[in-house]
Amino acid sequence: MFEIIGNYFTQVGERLDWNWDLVECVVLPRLFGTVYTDIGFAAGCKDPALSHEMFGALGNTLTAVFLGYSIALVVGLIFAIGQRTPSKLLSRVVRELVEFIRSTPLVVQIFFVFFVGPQFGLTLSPWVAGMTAIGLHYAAYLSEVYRGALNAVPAGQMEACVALNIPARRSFFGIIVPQALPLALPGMGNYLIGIFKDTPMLMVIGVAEMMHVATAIGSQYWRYTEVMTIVGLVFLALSIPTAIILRIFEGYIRRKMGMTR
Amino acid sequence: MTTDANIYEGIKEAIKGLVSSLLEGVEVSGRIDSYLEFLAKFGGRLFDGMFITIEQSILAIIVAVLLAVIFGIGRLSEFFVIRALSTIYIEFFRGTSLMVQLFWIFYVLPFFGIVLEPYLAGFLAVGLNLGAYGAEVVRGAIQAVPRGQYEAALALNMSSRKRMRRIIFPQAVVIMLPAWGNLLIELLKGTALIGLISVTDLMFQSRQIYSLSYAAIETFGTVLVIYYVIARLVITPLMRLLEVKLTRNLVRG
Repeated sequence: MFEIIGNYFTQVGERLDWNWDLVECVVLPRLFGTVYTDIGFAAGCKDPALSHEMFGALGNTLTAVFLGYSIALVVGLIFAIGQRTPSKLLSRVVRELVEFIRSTPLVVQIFFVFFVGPQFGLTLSPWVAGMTAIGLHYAAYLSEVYRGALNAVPAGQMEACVALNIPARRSFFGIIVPQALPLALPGMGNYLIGIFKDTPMLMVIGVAEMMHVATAIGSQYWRYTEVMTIVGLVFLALSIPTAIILRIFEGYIRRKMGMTR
Repeated sequence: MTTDANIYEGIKEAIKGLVSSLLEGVEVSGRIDSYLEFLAKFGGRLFDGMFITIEQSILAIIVAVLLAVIFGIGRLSEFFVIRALSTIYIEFFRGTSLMVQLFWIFYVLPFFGIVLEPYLAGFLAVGLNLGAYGAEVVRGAIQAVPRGQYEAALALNMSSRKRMRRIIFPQAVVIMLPAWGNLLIELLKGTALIGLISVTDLMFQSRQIYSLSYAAIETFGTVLVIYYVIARLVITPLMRLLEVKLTRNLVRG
């Protein structure tokens, strides 16, 4: 029994034999860029695959997260306000649009945005198309978070604003939004991590984020083990601490806003 | 088993035949001028892809629900080892992206002597990923069952297994159903990724059709609408039906 298990692991070990040269000279430089190579870890390599980008593929991933999330934060608010307007038609249209975006796959949406443009003579670069698609997708999710938070602010607050004759815009952005924000924070944090985990989908149109580089390395050296494992670990190493930091931040904001629960 | 498969194949062929007979009069030339022509030429491929997507979704739902129940209850176990294992599973699959998991299962597991067909790897990856999210839903629902129910079951001297099976879990199911509706839509969206490991699902077919026709708006537009229809007109009503069916038997106070 133990012999069989032992044999299995020796076999796996032989097949697996983790290739440190590949990791040090190709995978890490291309994932982490000149930051990694400059420190001199790659000194032992005969021919390190130098990355010309400052932060390599990880930098591209984080840029995509930042840009996509920025778009989503703003457009999401527009979607949320669009559903609160007095116009029945407009709010209905926005509602359906949000539902549509939320229940269709992001990959297909990325293809749609990327390939539909050229048909009408508008060629988008992979980055522009990818950021538009991922931004709109998460805007739909964030608008739901905003909507829930805005609805959770007691109606009396708005009535008090009307009674005090505060202008509509000021009562919305000055009274309602600051109260809704702490309620929206948990959802917003979740989707920040969600957008980070969805950036690999951008590889399908050739945005050079981590997964794109990982499959490129994998098919070039015909070894996927190291690079896939490292990319997975990077995702884990970034998303779990981010979740913890966000939770602490939520607590801080809540205390700051004088909310006990 | 074989007859079931034959019936299923028969249904597929019948639907495809119906659609192609509806589009029979449409001329198919080299260039695509109208949407009907597009459908006549590529409708079959779209249907093939749609069936694969639905099959994959159903298989992934089975995997996800099983894992969610096992690890959701395991998360609340009194044994440290089971609790730790469940937490590791949940945090691992929630912490990394579905695509990384899919590629890892497809490309790296062969080194451990486990070679999976793309078809199998596809729904396993989606099921494993959504199972982790589902486990959190299950855990939350079990914890949301009123405390008095535990105490009453304990007072009636029920064993912990019986308590879970007869008292707690049926009530938790009702609480967790709305969340599962959203999760299943996420799952359907997740299956769109398995086209990347060459399972011929709807997404895969859409890329093929695009490379044959260069009709982007028709191709991807149709595929988006198909996904939307499956999500909104199949999954959502079915979940609502299930909710009605299950709540009917439970008198909620």
